[in-house]
Amino acid sequence: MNHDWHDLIQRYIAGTLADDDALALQNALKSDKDLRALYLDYINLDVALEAHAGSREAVNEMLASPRTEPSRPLRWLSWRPLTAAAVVALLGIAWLWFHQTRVVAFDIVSVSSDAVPDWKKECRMRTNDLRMTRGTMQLRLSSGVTMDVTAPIEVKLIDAMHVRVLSGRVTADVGEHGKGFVIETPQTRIVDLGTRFGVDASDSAHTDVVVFEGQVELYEKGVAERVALLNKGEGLRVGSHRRASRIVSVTGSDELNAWSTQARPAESAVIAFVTDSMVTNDEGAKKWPSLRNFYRIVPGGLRDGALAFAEEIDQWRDVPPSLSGSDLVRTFAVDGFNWWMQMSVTVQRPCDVFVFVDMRNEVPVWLSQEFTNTGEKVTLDRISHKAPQRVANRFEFAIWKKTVTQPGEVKLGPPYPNPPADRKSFNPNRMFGVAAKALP
Amino acid sequence: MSQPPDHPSHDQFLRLYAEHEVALHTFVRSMLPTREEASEVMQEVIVILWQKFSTVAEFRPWAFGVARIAALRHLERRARDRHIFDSELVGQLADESAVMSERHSDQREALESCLQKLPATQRELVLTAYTKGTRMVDLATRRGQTPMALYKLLHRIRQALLECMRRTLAQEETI
Repeated sequence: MNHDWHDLIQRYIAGTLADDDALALQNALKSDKDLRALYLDYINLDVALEAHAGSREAVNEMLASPRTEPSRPLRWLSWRPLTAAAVVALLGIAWLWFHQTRVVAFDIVSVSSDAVPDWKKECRMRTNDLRMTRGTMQLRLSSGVTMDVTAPIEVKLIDAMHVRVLSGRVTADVGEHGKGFVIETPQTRIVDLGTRFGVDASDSAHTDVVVFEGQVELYEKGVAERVALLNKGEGLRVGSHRRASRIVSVTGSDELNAWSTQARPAESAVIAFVTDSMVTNDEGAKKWPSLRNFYRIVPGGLRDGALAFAEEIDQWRDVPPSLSGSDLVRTFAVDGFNWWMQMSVTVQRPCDVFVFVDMRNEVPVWLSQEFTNTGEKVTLDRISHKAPQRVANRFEFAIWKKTVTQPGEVKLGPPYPNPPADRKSFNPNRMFGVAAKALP
Repeated sequence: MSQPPDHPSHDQFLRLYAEHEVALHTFVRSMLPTREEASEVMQEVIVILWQKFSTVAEFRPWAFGVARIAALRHLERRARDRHIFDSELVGQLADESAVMSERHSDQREALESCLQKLPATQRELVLTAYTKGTRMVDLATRRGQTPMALYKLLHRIRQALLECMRRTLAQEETI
């Protein structure tokens, strides 16, 4: 007897298949692997259509109802914590299920005029595919997550907590409610732990992930095990097959999406690139390098109150007017590396390169041989993490200068001459500061 | 033991659950004969997952294990009913469903474009049929059709969607 298996499977799934046919289907499924795959594909389609119809209904309801203020927590939840926990979890799951949608709503916070025709500031849009060949846009998802996107870009919005960056550069600013926000790229999955971070998937061979605040977790695609935890001031370039290398320098101001990991500085920039001796040449051999800190190059960024380090909140103060507006390198401090590291600053025009050195430290030989002490000073304000408005300590840094007449590399040695005999009694300041200003 | 709602595990649980929910649902559905039963068992699974979550090292295999036991228990309870596959086949389907979850995820992704390729009336019909609370008899009446004619039309639409999803994946694999 010939059977239309498509028909039988669909009727079984719908619960309308007669006993004899169900038995025939069962026997066929037991012996035919391809038929089982067909059955499971139909099951998957059934679940997906149910989810799709549910999310469509959710969107329709959302469109039909006016926005409301968040309601107050239900009173009974406060005195029945155990039940409340389960209810809150289920409500959360229901919310996620409800919003697990192919059509995602978002508000446009700002958009450049050349980005997408008819897309205006403060408009609410609904789509699952975001493609831009020109311009920039900032959008806010219903989870509160703000994303800055820069063309060319192709993003698939899965839901308010999950996007897939197929190509292009995105910076996500995740508020308190957006914790757990996920960005997928062809190479990796990034789970946010409450932070601000950037993802660049412009090159199809790898994804660059850089963290500006907080922490993110990196997962290999399709694997539940976490492969890396990145902190503020750290970045990784993730390739295929779990290959990863440190991102050494990031260029750009603190504007949300004004960063770049590409070594293509603006023509007006003085500092083109920064690297150091801690970059391993054999990136493949060291799949997940333990040192992941990057230098942040901020063109024209040296001014009073400028952040001094890529992974800290300390600030440069009392900047001499003659240095204001110089390109600034936000360095970082990693004990154990600082004693022997060498840094290389590539400049693309004739300039003065400045190094700020903690005046409590002995002056390194390399500095006194190649640089001149200007006699000027800059102050480092150590800011308390617990009270960011409070300056915990102030330290004076001497400004040393080297005039570079040709574009090229300037080598800098370690910030301290020698490792201390007694590390416990030694409380060095952090790394030195670096800046450069074009010659008139 | 449940945890207070502001416990860090709450966020972690939601994140993990959201990540695996559709795969879990498909897995449960592969073992059970109807959509309603799969939803019923999924509700049971959610509660068990939440209650035991704090002691778990690896979420996915554990969650699939919990879902499998819950579905089998459900089948045991209604073993004498008609139209239910025997335990040997249910076991086979569960095993194969678990390893096909990535393929199924890709298929679900292809569904959106496949739906767009359908004529608008067919797209509307299939999504209405899957909207909660829709009764086939009522829908057929509204459309001036017999229920049998409606079932047949939906069968054709689903088959077209499935073939489109399979074709899309096959094309992507050859690129």
